[in-house]
Amino acid sequence: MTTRCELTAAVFEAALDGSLTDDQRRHAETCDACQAGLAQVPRFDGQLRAAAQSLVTAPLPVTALEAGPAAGPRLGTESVLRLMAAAAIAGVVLLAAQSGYLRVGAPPAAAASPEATFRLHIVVRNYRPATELLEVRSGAGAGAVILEIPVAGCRIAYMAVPLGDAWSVVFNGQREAAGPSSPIAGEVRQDLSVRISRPIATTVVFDGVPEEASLDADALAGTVLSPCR
Amino acid sequence: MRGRLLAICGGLVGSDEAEDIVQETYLRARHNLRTLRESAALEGWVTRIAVNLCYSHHARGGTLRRLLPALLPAQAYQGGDLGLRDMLERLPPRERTVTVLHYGHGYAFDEIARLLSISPENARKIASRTRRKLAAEWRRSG
Repeated sequence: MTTRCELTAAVFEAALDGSLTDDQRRHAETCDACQAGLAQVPRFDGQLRAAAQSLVTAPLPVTALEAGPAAGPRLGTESVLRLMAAAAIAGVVLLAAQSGYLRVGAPPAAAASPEATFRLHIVVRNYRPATELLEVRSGAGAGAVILEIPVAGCRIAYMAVPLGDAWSVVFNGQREAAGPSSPIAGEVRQDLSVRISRPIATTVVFDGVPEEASLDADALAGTVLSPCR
Repeated sequence: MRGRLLAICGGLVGSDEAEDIVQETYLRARHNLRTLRESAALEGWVTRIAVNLCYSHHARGGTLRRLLPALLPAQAYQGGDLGLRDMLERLPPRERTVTVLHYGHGYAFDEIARLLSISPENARKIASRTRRKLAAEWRRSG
């Protein structure tokens, strides 16, 4: 009959991790409960293997290991660079449009309203917003993080919401004061290119002045910027 | 190829999620097809996309969906512990994917790392943590 021993759980865990000490080994030699605990480890591993194998109904093709980086959530360097460029350009486009200096595509029908706001939606992966940004503006509920990037003449806040392995980041920008446009594009470019250079943008939606437009990140990378008149 | 992908993904994240994953796999593959240099590697490339999506999958209805297998009749399989299989099926996608790739498919950690574009150390940590968790649950239930 096996008696209980308060060390059995620790002996089992140590054996599982391969970190069994000499003391534990010596103790197990004289303790039925711990011997039984030790014997459970290979049994557990065998059953874990059998259970995992029972979930396998089709093997992976051998070429899966040889294939290049998957076009999955983790993108290749080339894609990252392209999207980083797109994100940086998006920032410049949006803020320049906000300032009234630049517009995307055809000349707009109307001038930008000083009260106009823009919204940039970027889904980023492998991103740690708290370590990247300047200031946590307010405690946010439900896992959201709201941060603020101070830029001359412009207030930009963004909210990062975790979506599984990704972060959904929404930038909201608003000019702080009505009046003539200020030449902030250069400053913004520098500021935003730093902030947006690490995340991987997969979706960029521009919802702003003077008309709503949706811009795909890929398409945006080749966008020609024209000065506004 | 679709049937094979569904089977692979079903093992990694469960058949309920596999359909969505395969659908997303095709969309991504189509979008990124120009990056594929060797057409002969298509199946491996697409499979790798699917496995990566399984790994990063954020299960909808997570907790309830993971608990469902415990309420349903287990599929017949030989050997091993039925409870342990249930525990595997209830794991979050990331842990389940790494565990099934290692213990089920027999991939080494450096191979899993290559498949998932993570470090071998990270793959080892996930597998080790999951094994400890399963072992604790297994002992409690035994």
